[in-house]
Amino acid sequence: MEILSQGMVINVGPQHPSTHGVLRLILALDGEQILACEPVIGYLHRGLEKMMERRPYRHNIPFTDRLDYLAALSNNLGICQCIERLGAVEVPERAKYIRVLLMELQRIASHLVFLGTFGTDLGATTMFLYAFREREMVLDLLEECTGARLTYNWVRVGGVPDDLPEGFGQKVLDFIKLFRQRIDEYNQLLTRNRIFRSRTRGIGVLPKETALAYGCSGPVIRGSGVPYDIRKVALYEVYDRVEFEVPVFEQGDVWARYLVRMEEMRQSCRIIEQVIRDMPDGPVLTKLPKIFKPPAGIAYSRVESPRGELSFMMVSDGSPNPVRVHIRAPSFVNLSVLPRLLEGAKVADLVAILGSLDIVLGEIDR
Amino acid sequence: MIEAVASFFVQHPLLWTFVKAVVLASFTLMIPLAVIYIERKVAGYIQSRLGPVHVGPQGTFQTVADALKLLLKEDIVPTGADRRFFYLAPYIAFISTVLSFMVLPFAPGWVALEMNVAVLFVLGVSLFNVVSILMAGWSSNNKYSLLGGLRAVAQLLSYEIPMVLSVLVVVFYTGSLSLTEIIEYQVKHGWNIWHPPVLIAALIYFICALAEINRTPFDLPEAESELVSGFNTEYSGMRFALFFASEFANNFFITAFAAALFFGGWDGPILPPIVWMFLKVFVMIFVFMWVRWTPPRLRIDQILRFAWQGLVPLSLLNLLFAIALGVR
Amino acid sequence: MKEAIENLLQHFGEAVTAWSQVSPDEVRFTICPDKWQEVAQYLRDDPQWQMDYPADLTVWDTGQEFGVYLRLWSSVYNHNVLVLTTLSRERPVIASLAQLYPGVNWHEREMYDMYGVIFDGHPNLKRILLPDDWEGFPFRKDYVAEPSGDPLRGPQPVN
Repeated sequence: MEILSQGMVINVGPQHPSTHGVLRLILALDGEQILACEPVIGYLHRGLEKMMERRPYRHNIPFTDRLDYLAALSNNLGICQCIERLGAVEVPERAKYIRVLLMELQRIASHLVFLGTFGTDLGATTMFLYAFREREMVLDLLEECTGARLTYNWVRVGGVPDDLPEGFGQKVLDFIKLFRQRIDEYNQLLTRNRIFRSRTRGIGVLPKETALAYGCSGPVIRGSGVPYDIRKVALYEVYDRVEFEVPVFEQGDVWARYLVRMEEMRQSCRIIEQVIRDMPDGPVLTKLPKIFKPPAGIAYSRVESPRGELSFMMVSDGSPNPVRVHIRAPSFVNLSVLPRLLEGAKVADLVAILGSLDIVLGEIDR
Repeated sequence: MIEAVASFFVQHPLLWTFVKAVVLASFTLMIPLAVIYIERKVAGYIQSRLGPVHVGPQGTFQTVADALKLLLKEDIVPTGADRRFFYLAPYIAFISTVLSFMVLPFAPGWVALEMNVAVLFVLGVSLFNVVSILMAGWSSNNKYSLLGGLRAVAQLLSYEIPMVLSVLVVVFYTGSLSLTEIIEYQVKHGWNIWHPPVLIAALIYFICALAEINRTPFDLPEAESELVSGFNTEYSGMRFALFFASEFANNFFITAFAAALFFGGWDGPILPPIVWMFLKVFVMIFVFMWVRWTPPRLRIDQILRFAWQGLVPLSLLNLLFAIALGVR
Repeated sequence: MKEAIENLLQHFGEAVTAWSQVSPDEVRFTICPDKWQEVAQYLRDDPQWQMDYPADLTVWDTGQEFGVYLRLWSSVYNHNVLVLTTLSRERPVIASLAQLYPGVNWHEREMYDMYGVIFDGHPNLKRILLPDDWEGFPFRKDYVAEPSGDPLRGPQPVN
């Protein structure tokens, strides 16, 4: 794609206040109209995939925390599932339930960040503080369980490292009860606000066929009418035993993507309640040999991270280190559709559209 | 001794006006300290946090500390900036605010400059503000500042018109352009706001006031998430402090103007008039802040559309409505 | 699914060097690199496959040769297909799928950036993650880099 050389070329530089990470956008403008856009990425590239080739399989799990750092547990789960598929490792039942519980808490935390930053981008700064107030509660819960607030490293090949602490289930249920009321508050503040609607409705429309052809995933594609949610499509862990709905909206605009995330938070609450109620007792980790050498072959795993389809692909040749680890990051693919979304949009809509894609540069650049 | 000083000033009225101007200029610099403190505390409580607490009792000296910090900062002028306008812009904004305060009656007899066309003077002087923003945006040699400056000018000019039309309704009712006479009329006949056309005019005035002082939801010219800081991106140190101070002093002035036009100015029982004036102003400022921290901001074309297709016809109709009802 | 696989094998015959059905909804095909685009097109357009969603495309280096991996999903049938092939080190060229599936555009750029695999027919094949003036292809197994002493440039390739 070429940048037209007419009009003004403006650089929304790697550092800017509506920061979603170090992303650079080169825009060709004609007044307020955007003619073309070229995203420049790679400012956060650390060569994680190459580094993973030098280490034994299980030593690579902490690297994945740093990919999508707002939803670190999803990344951990992704890589562990991939190694489990490669080595045909069984995961005990209780571990599966614990993993789903943590994933859904993580989804709530990540969507709260989206809510806060999206509100701030549009000017409703108050939303940021309310969202982070709830996020603090989730982070406190996760800290009690895993010991960390951001880079959890709490999923292992064959389960989770340790059981949940005493009384954890009740604390989570108390939080969920409070959180449901708070979601209603957020709806009052943003969703029912006329100014918010006029800033997000009809903006940045992504047609269904484009979304499919580009490989968009997560709330981006569900906001365009495609009911693609890996939790329902691949039914991994215990998602086949849990009742929940996947919100899908047809409009394909920023408003639809926002609504998808809001509704997903509610559905996560539902899943968490069922998981806590149905959790069986038992071991939480399958023991593996000290030097873990899976058979040669190729395996891949898919996880529904809060941003979309996070997929790990590993190639093994029987040695303790992987030959290749490939991370298919949802934000990487979602960002590639941004130039299409911005064609014909105004500069003032750029922030709203970019915010609605909810990208994290950690997983784009790896 | 006081008689000596008083008679000296009676003989030199120009000098007396100069003293009053100096007092008002310092007031213009001091009142933002209070307003900003209140803004930060109100914002904090709306956002479920505390606001400033450490510096001074309950954090009251926080703004003073911030002002001192700004004073001590390095004065950076970008290369390629148009120096004359870059230096001039903050002062013009400041001067326009001081001039507006000069004709505002704080209490019976407490007017710096008694004018019988005070309303017209205020509306004219507020245009200096627009000019200063354009100067700042243009002279900064920065694409973002220019965009911010142009957007600000478009917005300010569009919202001047409904504002003038609403003020015209009050002028029509009281039959005078002088603020002192308007207030005295309200002392005799009850506050202006009780007339239906004036009520509508007051609502329109409030919306225009929000737009005139660049407050959310109309704060696109200073939108942080898009244009860094709009027209005052390149300003640092005391120049930035002057812009900031004149914006908050304008906040105070616009609400004081509204108090004088619609709510009777310093009129009120029991308490001294100056207290009533400040009370009305701060209640309205609180409402402004409440509005600021709740909704998101509008896009520039939505702002302009709302002004031209919404407020202008509405205020014209309101004026006709007022004329049709006639003066009591 | 069985019928669809048989039709594909019949259609491409010798080009498919190996295949396996890993699970009821996942098939893996290993094909010759020169039929890469045709197979992808067939999988997208054939009414029994309808693989309209490009999930992933990547390359890996075994030390002797490059392997290419394409994963597709069908939103109509909910089945997955993995298409694998190998490329030689001396001439790592393969057809680009960017016109068929816009979603692999950036994946192919990243593979060019990291491995030096040329995607024939790609509209904008330039580096994506590394700076435009970087020399060498870091993910190759024979990539050796030494610290250059310049913090802004970082390690530079030796060969």
